Amino acid sequence: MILQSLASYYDKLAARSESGCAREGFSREKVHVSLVISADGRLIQTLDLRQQVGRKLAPREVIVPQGPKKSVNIAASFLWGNTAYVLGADDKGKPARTADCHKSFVELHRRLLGSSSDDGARAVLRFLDTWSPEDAARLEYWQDMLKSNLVFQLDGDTQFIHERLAMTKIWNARLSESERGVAGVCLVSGERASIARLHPAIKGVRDAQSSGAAIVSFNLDAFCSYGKEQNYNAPVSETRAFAYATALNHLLRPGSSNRIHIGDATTVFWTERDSPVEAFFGMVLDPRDTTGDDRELAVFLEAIREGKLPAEIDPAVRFYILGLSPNAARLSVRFWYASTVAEISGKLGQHFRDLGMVRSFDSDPAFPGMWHLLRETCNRKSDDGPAPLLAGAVMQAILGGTLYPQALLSAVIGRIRAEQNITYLRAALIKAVLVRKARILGQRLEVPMALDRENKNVAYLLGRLFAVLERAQQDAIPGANTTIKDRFYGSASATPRVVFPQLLRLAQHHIDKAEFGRVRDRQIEEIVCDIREFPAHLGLEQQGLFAIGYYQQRQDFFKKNAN
Amino acid sequence: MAYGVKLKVWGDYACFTRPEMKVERVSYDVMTPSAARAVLEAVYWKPAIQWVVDRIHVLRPIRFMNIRRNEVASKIPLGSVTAAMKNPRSPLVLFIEEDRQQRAALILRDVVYGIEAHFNYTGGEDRVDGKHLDTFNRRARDGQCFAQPYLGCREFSAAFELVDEIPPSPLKGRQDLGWMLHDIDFGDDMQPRFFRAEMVDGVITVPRLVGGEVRT
Repeated sequence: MILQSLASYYDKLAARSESGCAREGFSREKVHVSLVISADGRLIQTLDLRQQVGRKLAPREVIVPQGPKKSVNIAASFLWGNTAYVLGADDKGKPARTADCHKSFVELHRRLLGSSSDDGARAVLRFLDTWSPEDAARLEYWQDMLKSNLVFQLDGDTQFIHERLAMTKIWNARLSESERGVAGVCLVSGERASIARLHPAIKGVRDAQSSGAAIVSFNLDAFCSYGKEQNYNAPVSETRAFAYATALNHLLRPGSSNRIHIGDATTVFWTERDSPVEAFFGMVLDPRDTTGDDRELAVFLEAIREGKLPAEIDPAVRFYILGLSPNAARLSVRFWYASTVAEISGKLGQHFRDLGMVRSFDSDPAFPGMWHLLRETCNRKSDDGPAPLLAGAVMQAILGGTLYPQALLSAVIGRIRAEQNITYLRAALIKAVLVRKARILGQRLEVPMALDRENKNVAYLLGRLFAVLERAQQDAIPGANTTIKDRFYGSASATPRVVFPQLLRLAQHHIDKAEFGRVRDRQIEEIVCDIREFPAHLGLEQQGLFAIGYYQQRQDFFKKNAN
Repeated sequence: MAYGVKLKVWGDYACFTRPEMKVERVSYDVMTPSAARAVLEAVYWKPAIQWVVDRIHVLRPIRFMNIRRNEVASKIPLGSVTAAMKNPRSPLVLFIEEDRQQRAALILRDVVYGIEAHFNYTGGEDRVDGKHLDTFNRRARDGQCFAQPYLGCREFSAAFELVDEIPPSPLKGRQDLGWMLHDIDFGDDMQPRFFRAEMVDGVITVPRLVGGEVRT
C-alpha cells in the first residue's frame, strides 16, 4: 500500500505542472555552477548559481536528465555532473579514476550528440574536444568549485543547454530505446512491464546516507531469495519505481511542508486529494517555525478540539502518514497510517483535549507542539535532546489514540523532582497521560483542567496543601531565597507521611507571623478535613496528581491576585 | 474437491513480509494465501495433494508494532559447504560479530485468522478424498503437526484449532488492500503471483491461481 499510495500521489503531482515535479527520465538535482561556453567551445566564464537561503548560500535545484544510480561504478550523466566527470579534475587524490570518469563523460556525449546539428550540442562537443583537465586548476574560483555540480549554458542564452528542445528530444529518444530489462508483473500496478533493477535513491531523510538511501534495497547476500539479484527480488516496473521515488523525494525536499522530524524518524504525510489539512498537519505537530498567528490554523485547532471539523474541509479525503527511519544506506518504515482526514483530526483533537490545562502565562501555547512537549522531558542544560524512541512512541500514541508511553510520565516527574519546577507544559503532559490511561483502561479518575475544590483524591489534595503551605511561608517571610518547595518538594510528593506533619507545624509559625494568616489557616483546614490520613508513599501516578494539584492551586492564587 | 477444511490460527506476532520491503520488513495487513498454505502444510501434507486456500478471515483488529533485530549480512557460500563435506576439518562458520546487520521490522500484533481451504491432487496416485480429509481433521484436532506452524516468519509460532464454523469477524466494511502476494510459482522460475485483495467485513476471498484475477 505504501508504494502504491506514493505512486498515485506522483500521478496527482505530475498532472499539476506547477508542482515542480520531474517527469520520467528527469530528476531534481542540486547544481552549484554553470559553465558558460561560446558557440565554438571556449569557456567564457563560470557562473555561480547558488542562492541566498537564510545566512548560507545554497545550491539551486534544477531539473536535469536523470543520471544513472552511482555508488562505486563510473557512469556519466547527460549534460551535467560533478567536476570529475565534466572537467576531469578533482581533489579526491585518485587521478586515474578521475581520468576514467572524464573519459566516460566525453564518450557519452560524443555518442549522443555526434549527429546533432544544434548549436548547444556542437558547442559542448567542441568544448570537450579542446578542454584538458590541467586547465581546471587555472580557473578562477577553482577552490570553491571543487565539490560542486556543473551544468552548461550557451553564451547569450538564459536557459541551460540541457533544457534546449533538441537536447530533451535526444534524451527522450534515448530513454525509449534503452535496453529493456527483465519483464514481470509489477507489484504496484499489477501490470506486466519491464522490471527496474535499481530504484532511484531517496534523499532528504535525516541521518541517512547523504547520497541517498533506499526503501526497496537488497544490497547484501542475505537479503536475496531464490537466486534473484538486487531489486528483481521485488518486481516493480520502472515507471512505477520512478513514480514512487520521485513522489517521496518531492515530499522530503528541503522546505517541504509535508515533512516533520520526530525523534529519529522523518515523517512525511500527504492527502489523496488537495486538502488544507496537508498544510496544517505539520504546523500542528511542530509549530516551531510559525508564530501561531495563522488565522486558519487557529480556527482549525479550536474546531478539532471540540471534536468538529471546519466546514470547508472534506472529512472523507484519505490521509497518509509514513514514518521513515534511517539505517545507513537503507530506510526502514517506522510507521504507516492510511486513514481519513476526519479520523486524524479526531485523534489530534482527542490529544489536545487530553492536554487541556489552565495556562500560567499568556504566552503559553494553547496547542503545544511535539517539540514543546518533549523538551519538558529532558535536561535543558544538556544538549542531548529527548530520547528518540520516546518521541516516536508519543507520535504513535497520538495518531493511534492509544496509551502514551509510561516513560513519558516518569521522565516528566523526574524532571520536576530534579528542578523543583512545575510548568504548564509539564502539568499538561501529566494530565494527558493519566486521563488517557484512565479512559482506555476503564478506571475512574477525575483530573481537572483548573482548580477543582470538590476533588477528593488524596494525592491531589496533598499537592494543593503543599501549595497553600508554601504560600503561607511566602506571606510570612517575603523575599526568602528558598521556600519549602526547594527543600521539601521531592520528599513531600514521594513520602507524605514523613514530611507533612513537620510542614504543618512550621506553617503554624508562618500563620502567626503573617498579616492575613487566618486566611491561610482556613484554606489549610478546608483541604485537610478531606484527608483521612497521610499516605506513607505515593506511586508515580499519584506523584503526578500531586504535581497537578500543586500547579493548579498556585494558578488559582495568581488569578486571585490579578483580580 | 467437494469438501473443505476450516482451521483457526492465532499467535502473538506475525510478519507476512511484503516482497518490496523484505530487508527492513514491513508486514502486509493480513495473512497472505501462501502463509495460510504453509500453515496447512505444516499440519498435514503429502506430495499427492496440494492445498488451495479459498478464504481468509481476519478475526482481530489490525495492529502493528516495531522491533529491531541483529541479523547476519551474508549467506554461507556453497563452496564452503561442499568443502566441509569433503574435508571435516575445513571450517564452516559465520561469525555474526563480523557480519552484523541490524534490521528493523514492522510486524503485526495479536493476530487471529480463520482459514478455509480445500486440496487438489497433483497426480494420478493416492486419490482417496476421505483419507486425506480424515487425516487432516484428526491431526488438527489432536494438535499434531510435522513442524510448528508459523505466521509468515518461522520465529512467530502459531497455535491452531480445527473449527466447524469460523467465528464472525469484528471488522466491518470494505477495505482495499492493494496488490497482495498470492504465492510464488515454484514451477516457473520462482515468479511471484499477485492478486488484488479486498477485505469485506473481515473476509478475503482468494482467487484461483489460474484465471484472470491472478497476475502472472
